[in-house]
Amino acid sequence: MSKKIDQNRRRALHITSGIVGAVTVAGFAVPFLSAWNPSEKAKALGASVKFNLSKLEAGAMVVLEWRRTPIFIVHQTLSAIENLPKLDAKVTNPAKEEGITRSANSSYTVLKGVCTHLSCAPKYHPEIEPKAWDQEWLGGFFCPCHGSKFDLAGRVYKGVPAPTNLEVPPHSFDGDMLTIGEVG
Amino acid sequence: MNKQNNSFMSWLDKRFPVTENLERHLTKHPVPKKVNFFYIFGALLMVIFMVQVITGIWLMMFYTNTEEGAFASVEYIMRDVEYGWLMRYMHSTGASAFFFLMYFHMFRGLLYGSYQKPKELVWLFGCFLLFLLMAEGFLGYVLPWGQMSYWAANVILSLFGAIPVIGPDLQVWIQGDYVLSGATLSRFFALHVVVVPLLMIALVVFHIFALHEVGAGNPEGVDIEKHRDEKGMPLDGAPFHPYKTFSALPAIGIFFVIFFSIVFFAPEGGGYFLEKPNFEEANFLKTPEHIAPVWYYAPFYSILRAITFGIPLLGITSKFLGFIIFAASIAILFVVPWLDRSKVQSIRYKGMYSKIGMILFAASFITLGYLGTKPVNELRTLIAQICTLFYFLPLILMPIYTKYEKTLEVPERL
Amino acid sequence: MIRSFTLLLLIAFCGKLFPAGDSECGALESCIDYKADVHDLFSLQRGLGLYMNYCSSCHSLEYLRWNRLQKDLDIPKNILREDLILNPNIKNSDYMTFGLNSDDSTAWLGAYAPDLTLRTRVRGESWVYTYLQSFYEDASRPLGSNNLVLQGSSMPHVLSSLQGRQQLNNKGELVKVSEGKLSEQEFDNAMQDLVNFLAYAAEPIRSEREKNGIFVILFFVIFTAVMWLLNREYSKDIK
Repeated sequence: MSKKIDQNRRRALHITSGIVGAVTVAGFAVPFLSAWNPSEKAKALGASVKFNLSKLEAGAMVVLEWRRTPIFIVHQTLSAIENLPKLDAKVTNPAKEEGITRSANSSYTVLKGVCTHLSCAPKYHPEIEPKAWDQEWLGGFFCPCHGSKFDLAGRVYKGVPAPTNLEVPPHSFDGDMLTIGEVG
Repeated sequence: MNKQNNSFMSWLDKRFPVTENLERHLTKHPVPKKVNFFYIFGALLMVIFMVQVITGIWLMMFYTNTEEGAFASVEYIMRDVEYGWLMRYMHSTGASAFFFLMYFHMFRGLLYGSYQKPKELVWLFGCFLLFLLMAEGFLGYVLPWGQMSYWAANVILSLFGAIPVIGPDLQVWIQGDYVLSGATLSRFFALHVVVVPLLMIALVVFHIFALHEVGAGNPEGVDIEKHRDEKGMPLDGAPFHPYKTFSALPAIGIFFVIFFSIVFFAPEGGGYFLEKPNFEEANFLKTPEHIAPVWYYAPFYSILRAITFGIPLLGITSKFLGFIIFAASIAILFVVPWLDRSKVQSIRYKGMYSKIGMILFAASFITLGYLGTKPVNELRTLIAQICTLFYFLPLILMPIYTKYEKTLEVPERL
Repeated sequence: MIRSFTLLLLIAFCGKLFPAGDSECGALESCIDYKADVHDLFSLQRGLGLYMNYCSSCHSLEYLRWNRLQKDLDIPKNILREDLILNPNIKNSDYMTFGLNSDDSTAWLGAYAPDLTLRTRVRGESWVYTYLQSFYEDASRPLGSNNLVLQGSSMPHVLSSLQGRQQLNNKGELVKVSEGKLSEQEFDNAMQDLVNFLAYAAEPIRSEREKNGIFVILFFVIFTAVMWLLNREYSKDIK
């Protein structure tokens, strides 16, 4: 006890061993935290989905499943392509930079079928006719839960509960083959 | 900062005795200055227990506890989960490490009389921990649902069936089915991940509380409490922190070097840690050619197999007698504190008989362990029977030879 | 103390003197010792080639995904699709089952052809290596072939075109009765490639595990050194 204690040496040792200890904890943390990432199985289930568009008629819509989300694919009619720009004033965000169909193709629209309000599934109403919710309806999506309205490109109308346009999932076109989940 | 801290601590201490308990169990708790390497296994056991709990929780996140899904989910962990293979190998290697450390820790206790008055309860809680660890290991080994999981569990469960009168019904009740099946797997899962670990945590706490009440021992068997300085600190003692904590750190480092060498370079442990047949899914129509227990049960399994005779006069079959002797081989450890009548604690000051007894005991244990992993033949059965005898004799005769043998004088100080 | 330890060790090693168990390799005295090398990428690719040509018509790899194989064995994506998967309905993330299920193989081979994903871990690498070398012609078997390592094995000698035909002489040893496409050395190498590939399939992470393990161990060596210095400094107090 009477021997002199080299305080500097002790301080240096404290710092070094503290660093080594911190590295140990961090090193142990890496595998345990990484294990929570999607596994290969989840990645396989969440992999991209392919769809052949050749049999989808103009004006029709199909629903695909991708990552447990319904994906709406709409083959726009010529009149719809003409009508869509007319609605620019009625929608909250015209999203012109995304193009008229909001997809990588000028005649198809690809949307996540999840209402941006409270995640209900909007219904497809392509008819151009007066509706209970809109006398000047030019076709689009109507959410039965809380009455949100979207046009055929999934753009949300002003004055409805949904705040933003329907989301466009990553997708790419290769001829008639549409791939959802991958950008070309 | 310090002042603020102190006022916070005093606020806390008035409501919850943090400082008192920290000082009592961690910082100021006096431990003997001079101990040998045998005294590190307790600390390492705490480390490996934590490794098992944490890796176990993570494995549980990805494991499926059904008959159909269990085996595939282990391969899912090995292949599809990021670092899943590391968790699994750490857990399987950890099981072996746990037993390895446990056996050394207990052998230390036997050598240096760590069970003698007033440490009986420390030893007793420890023996319960060994028993729980064996149960935990057995339950966990069933979970991967490989061939060895299935057939080894079958062997052990049929032991319960050997109990007269209630045996067969008891076995069916434990299995939850007429055969070992998914029903058994599910309940073993619940026991393995919740019930047994909870009991183990409780017993570890009891073990340590009891130890801190009576004080840690040393290889000399000297009572350090006898000589104190003016502050009441034993002259041969030092506070737990920093002296004991810092001396454990390099040992933990060495332990991890060995542990990770196995995890990364020999996770199968030469077929002793992960047995080959367990890489094949359980098949109830096909018994593996040779059922061997994992190495850490091998000594006890050997004892079980060595009993090839029953007591027909009492209607006891060889199977049931084997079960009794097997159970006795663990049970006898519990009563060691009351078998040892020696005036001294440490083997260093005990007489010749104690030394011979300890060597015979350890040698039989190791030999039994070796034999347990090998297929039986006549010679091996004979050797196992002799070793079983020499496993029990040193313990059974302990009250006699420890009382009469000549012991050496124990010094006053370390 | 030291003396009693030496004694303990001596007694422990006496175990080594006990008679060894039966040979793992059936009728052979011992297996040919072989330890797989999973670090040789070209060997693994050659092994995959052999597997696809000679094994995959009966044996699945039900725990190995195509895309894992592609990544680990460094196979170009188009080769994976055009030369290995072939079937456009199979996704890259599917398991390598080759459309097999146990019922099919039961029907035409008279026995169940086991899945081979974990085979080298179940049997051991030496066993598989020896097994592949030990087929011989046996008229008494339904498919006309037998194996010294696994007597009565229902697997035919699918590699005979490579190895040449083998028969047993009257001492029960294997003798070649016709030449195959490969020389003896080439065939040995091919079987090593195949076992390497199977060892990879049994544990795809093995190569990475063995490569990275050394850094973890080195780190803990440093850890030990630093902590040893720390402890030595403090233990001066209580000397």
